[in-house]
Amino acid sequence: MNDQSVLLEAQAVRKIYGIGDQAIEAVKNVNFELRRGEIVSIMGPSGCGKTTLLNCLAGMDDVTTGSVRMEGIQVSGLSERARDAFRAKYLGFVFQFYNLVPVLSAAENVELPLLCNGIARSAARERALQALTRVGLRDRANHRPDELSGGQQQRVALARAIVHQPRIVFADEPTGALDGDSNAMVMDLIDHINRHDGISFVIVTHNPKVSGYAHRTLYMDSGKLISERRSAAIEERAVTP
Amino acid sequence: MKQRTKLAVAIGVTAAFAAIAAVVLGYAWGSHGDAGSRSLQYALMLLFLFLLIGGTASWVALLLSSRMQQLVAEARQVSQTGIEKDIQVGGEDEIAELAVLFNRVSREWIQGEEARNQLVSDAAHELRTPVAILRGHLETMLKGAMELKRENLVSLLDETKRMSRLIQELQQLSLAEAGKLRLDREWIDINLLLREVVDIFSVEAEEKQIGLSELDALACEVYCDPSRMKQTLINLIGNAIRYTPEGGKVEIRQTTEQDGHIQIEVADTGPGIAADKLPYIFHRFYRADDSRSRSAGGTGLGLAIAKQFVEAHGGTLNVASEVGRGTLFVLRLPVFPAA
Repeated sequence: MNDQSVLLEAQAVRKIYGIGDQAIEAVKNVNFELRRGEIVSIMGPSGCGKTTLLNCLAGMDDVTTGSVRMEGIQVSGLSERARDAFRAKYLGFVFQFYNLVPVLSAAENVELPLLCNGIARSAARERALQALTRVGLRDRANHRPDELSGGQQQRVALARAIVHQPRIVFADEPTGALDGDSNAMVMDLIDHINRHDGISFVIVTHNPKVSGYAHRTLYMDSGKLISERRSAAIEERAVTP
Repeated sequence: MKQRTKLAVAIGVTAAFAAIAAVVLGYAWGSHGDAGSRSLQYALMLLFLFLLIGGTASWVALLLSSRMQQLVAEARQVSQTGIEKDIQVGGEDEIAELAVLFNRVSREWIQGEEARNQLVSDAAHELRTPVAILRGHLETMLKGAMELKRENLVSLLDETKRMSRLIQELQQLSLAEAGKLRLDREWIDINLLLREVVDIFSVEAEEKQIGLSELDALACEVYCDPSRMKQTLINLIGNAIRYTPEGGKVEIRQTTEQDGHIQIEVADTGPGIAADKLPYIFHRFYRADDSRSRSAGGTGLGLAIAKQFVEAHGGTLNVASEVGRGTLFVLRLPVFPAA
């Protein structure tokens, strides 16, 4: 984490679902900052607005008011199409239930972000295999998701999230469906990718062990960020390359 | 032909034959005679059909069960005598398949039994010497023939240490072989780990005037259990130094990551291992050179443990050797494991 510049900045973000009396304010006036090479986890009780905030930060949801800027670009102001292109290029995603395409092989799943970015199929396959190698699954490149364990599927999803070398990977409960050992493997991989590729991670989680990997943990309740904790040990380690 | 196919064919053929017989008989008898003789004809016809179907069915049943009986008889013989003998049942049906499976299971069981017996006798053999030494010393001291001096106690302590190490290693090995070895993996700079192990042996190498060098070592993080990998490297490098004569050379080479694997080579200029002994060196308690085994201080488990640890990490450990020139161990380890 040599470059400490701000990568993602959200100001006064509010997200309101519904209108009139039915309106629910899921995210209330949140300010958020993510630095280059940082892992930030967001914790909080179910329904506190963690996932909504993540979706707003990642440009998957419109913000009602406020702004989300990434690398100087106001993401919240882009047209839907421009935002899709922006997401495909600069962001990666990991979900609780992997969201792999069941009829495609592991390598084909990992290729998808590259093909979306217009990279030729042969080059895409090579990079997909490299990404699968990093998560230890090159030998399973031709396996379909249902032939892999939960932990392996999540590692394929992680390979898919990093194959195009995005700036930020957003992970929503990445270990929510995994057992303890697979959980540690996925998080150790995230840690390694973060240190070696400098990719930042925003991780929504319930699991204190997962947030133990983060440089900063934000606590959220009823749509508001209520406190923040920095991990001293990790900060120190992260500074030394 | 499968049993079920045989059964289906037998039933089908019988039914078809019975139907034809019924039609022919009915046609031959049906047109004449009074009511009384006709019912007798019907009764006879039914009886004939019944006998026909029953006869064929029992013939098929006997045919099928005879093979089954043969299988049972042979299996019983094997289970009673415990002699390794293949059951021979020809054909391609389920019974033949069962015989093949039975042969495989019984072979594995017998081999397992032999391996267990071998292990018990090997372990007993390895423990006998230190126990005998301990007992001899203690008895001598008890009789007052030897003074209770500190330096005498040191050698006794050494023997007990050797025994506890042996027992600990046996435990680790049995866990690893059962696939129950718990690995606490983390990201480790393999180069730092190598240097740490080389440092451990630097004094010993210097004493024996062996050149211990680490070549091409490149920083590379590997996701592994540091204590198990350290143990593996200690066993490999320790062995290399132990079997290399004074003035020899031990070289450790580490290659960069390729295809998600790193490779560590440990090469020595020791006496080498004969080709006929090479396949056994990873076996428990196997020593290529019996004469120096115990004096060299090993338990005979080092290489077996190294191989099991490496395989538990999803890697491989191979050996190449030439008598008179030296031995090369090649360790390949995935940077991140598949499972």
